[in-house]
Amino acid sequence: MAKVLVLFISVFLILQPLRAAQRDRFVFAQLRYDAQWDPYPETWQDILEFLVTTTSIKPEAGRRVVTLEDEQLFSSPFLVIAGTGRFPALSSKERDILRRYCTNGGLVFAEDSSGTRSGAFDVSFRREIARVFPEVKLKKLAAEHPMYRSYYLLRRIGGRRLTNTFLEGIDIAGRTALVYSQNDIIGAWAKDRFGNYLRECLPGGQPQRFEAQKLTLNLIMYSVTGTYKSDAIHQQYILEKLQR
Amino acid sequence: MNWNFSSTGIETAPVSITLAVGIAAAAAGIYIILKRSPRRTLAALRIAAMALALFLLLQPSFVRYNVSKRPALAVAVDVSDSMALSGSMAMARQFIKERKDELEKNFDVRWYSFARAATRVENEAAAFSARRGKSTDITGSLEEIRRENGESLAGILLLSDGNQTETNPGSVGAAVFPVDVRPAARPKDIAVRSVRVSDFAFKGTPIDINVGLHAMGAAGEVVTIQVKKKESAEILASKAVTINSGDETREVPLRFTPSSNDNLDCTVEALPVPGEITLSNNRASFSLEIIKDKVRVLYICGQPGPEYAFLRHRLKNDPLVELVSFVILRNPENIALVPENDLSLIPFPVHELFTRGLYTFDILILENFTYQRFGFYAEHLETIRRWVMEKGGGLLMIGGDNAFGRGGWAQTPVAAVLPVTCDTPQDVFDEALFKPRIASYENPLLQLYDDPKQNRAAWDALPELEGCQALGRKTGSEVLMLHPWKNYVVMACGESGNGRALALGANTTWRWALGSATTESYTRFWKNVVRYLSRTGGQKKLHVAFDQPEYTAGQNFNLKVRYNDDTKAGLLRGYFYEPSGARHELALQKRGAAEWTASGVFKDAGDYRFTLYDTVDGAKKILGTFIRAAGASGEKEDSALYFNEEALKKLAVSSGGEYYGAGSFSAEKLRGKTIKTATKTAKNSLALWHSPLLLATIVLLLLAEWILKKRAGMA
Repeated sequence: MAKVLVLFISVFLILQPLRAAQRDRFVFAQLRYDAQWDPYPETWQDILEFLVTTTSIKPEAGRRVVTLEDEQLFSSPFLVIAGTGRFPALSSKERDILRRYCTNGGLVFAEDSSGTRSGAFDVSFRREIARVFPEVKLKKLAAEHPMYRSYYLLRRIGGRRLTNTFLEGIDIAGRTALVYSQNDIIGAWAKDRFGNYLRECLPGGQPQRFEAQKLTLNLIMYSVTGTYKSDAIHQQYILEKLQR
Repeated sequence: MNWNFSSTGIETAPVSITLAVGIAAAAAGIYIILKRSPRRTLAALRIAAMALALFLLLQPSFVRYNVSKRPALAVAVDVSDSMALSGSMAMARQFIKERKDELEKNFDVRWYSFARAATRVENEAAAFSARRGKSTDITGSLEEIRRENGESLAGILLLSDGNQTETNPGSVGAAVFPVDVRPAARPKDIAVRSVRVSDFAFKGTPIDINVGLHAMGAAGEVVTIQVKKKESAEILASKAVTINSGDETREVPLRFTPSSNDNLDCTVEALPVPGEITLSNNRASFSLEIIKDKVRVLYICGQPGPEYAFLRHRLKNDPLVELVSFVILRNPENIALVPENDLSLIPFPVHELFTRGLYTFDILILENFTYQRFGFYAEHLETIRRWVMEKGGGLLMIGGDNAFGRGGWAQTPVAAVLPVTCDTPQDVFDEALFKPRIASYENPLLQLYDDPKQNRAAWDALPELEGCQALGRKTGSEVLMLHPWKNYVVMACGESGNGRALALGANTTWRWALGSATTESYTRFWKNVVRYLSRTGGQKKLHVAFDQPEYTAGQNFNLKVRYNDDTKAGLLRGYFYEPSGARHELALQKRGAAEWTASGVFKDAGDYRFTLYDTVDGAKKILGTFIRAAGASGEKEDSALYFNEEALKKLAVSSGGEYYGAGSFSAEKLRGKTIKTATKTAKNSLALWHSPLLLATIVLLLLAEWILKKRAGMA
């Protein structure tokens, strides 16, 4: 009995530091669902490293994988949904949760990682989102959207494939609560174990990859600053810089 | 006269089934008797009796329909003022003159005139010479006509302009056939139909007013719209518009900037154009509550995170807040991978903000921010202290690794105004999830809802916070929340000179928004914080709502008052002055924690001045004064001088009738429409199932069967 108790306490003490407090830190959360949900299982590490190196954002170490019914979802204001195949139909309860998450302040970044137009993920995800938000539609984000200016001043968007020259989104109460891409932006980060990029970015090559990386960072920055860069005080500076 | 057979017992094909059963039973009986088999004869008698009984259970009856050669048609003539003023009455008179013979040939015509109620009259002349009405209730009048005539009425021919001035949600219950009686030449009239404006405005900030204007018969005229103060007739805004068509509805935008703190009672007036048939519809009124100014908030955040994103969104969406915010996106140790021109960063204007700039703000929020890395001088820190103490600013410091003692604030003049004692960099930052222990639910800052039970339930339902700074109590401050096991001060507030300060030891209130069913409690909490720190409240405490947008003399009014007093539960009282100067007390009835109702009557036309006051500690405090105007009876008629074709078409469709446009009416066509109704309604029935003859037949059949059985020795 004593041995069991010692073992239990030891396991508890070992595991304790793994649950570091999140507090106000950024958390890279990703949705696990019943299909191909994780096309690039390692990219989050490079994304977080890039984030820490270049900005003042303090992220929580590690990626948080959640389901829609996971309590931890509501401790994670930024959620990635990626996939290459069919996105499964959500239950009524799951739809309500996703709707509440977006309405209450969460930001979803969803991406068709196949980088194709009208692929299985694209068709099924659009159908499902139309059920979650029947009153609003995905629409193109304007070139002046604060997401394109939240940190880097982006004049174009990147990705592993240039399927679209724009992102789409759903706005709720003055903020974009869901961003949708078909360019496989996360795929542009994927590396092999020797540090070489795994997949070519077409048609723009490395510059297109860098644009994808900057866009990823802008997305994260938007999730923690909102429409900050739309404030009047920034406009003059931003316009001057864009005209240079 | 027609006779039809029907059954009320079963709706679908009962008669044919019953008859088929009866015929089959009879045929079987005849066949069996013909075979001369006594057993089969008995069976046939039994079957015949049962078939007959089954037939009677279906309650058969013969229905006699009286199809009159001339179905009854009510002709309803609208004799309200609007018909006469707009010229529609003349068109209706002309219509009847031309169609009277045709109508009387096809219908049994019953003449009615109506305005607020319907009156049966002898003939068309009496209908048109009836006394003009000051208001119109089309639906109610037609319903009255239908009730008076019962089901024999085939339909109602309606001669009206379609403008209903009385509220009546009822339905007619008979087919209505409106006829287009719009005048060929429209009379000239300019009407202010609506005023769209917010119920509050800020001093020094322009406010937009959208005036709904309707112009009839005034093509080419220039109309001037003016917004005036009701009391002094001072013109606040004015605009001239040219009317382009003979029947035009448009919205005219106007704008003015309130220059004082006084609430405004205003009129909107379309200045008369020569030849207008009425001027009583050229005016409308509205009231504006003037709020001193928006609460100006300066929010500085040391590190982007969910707390900043959520709180910024909350403040940005508050119409009473003007937000200026700065968040540090890059620290000196961060690497720039692109030229500066490709970054959206701007310099942090420390000197501009923390010298004179700070004095233009009401609230300063410092979240997880340290002054040490951004070129603050001692004078900037002293400015913050003086801004709170002398100017009466509201300071909020929110926790984090760079806040309070960890951010070096303990040794600055700012610490003097904070309502807590700061931690030291060596103190442990408790990182666990926790539910704060509420020290006082009654404090206005923590009152999410007026009802104490609901308020407590709302706090209980909020998700946990995460991480808390080791802050301590400070004499003279009020502790609002405590850490449940560490006893750190999570939230405290206090007065500092002329200003106020608030300390929040955790920067994870975003969890209250994301993790709750709705963001309602989160929103209310932060509204309370803004109200407290800005002192002004920045929110309307008194809300008054009348049950109707407009009144005329003689009408009753009901009003609802919401009074959110965040200091003491005062005793709300009120009175109003009639146009004659007579004063009446308002009988306010308490309906809820912050809600009252009252009712009364606007006896005469004119302005009624209402005053509401609170009696806290015996002293009378005026909360608000507002004016409601009651128009002269008949003004509503004057304001509706256009031909409301849409309303008439709707009435026709909803009642099962038809709208007849200009020249499309034909009495024969109308008869074709109404004949079906007449056939169905004029019925007379003879119930077979009541017939003693048929009941006796059943008894006789059963008796015959019994006698035959007896004779055949089968009983």
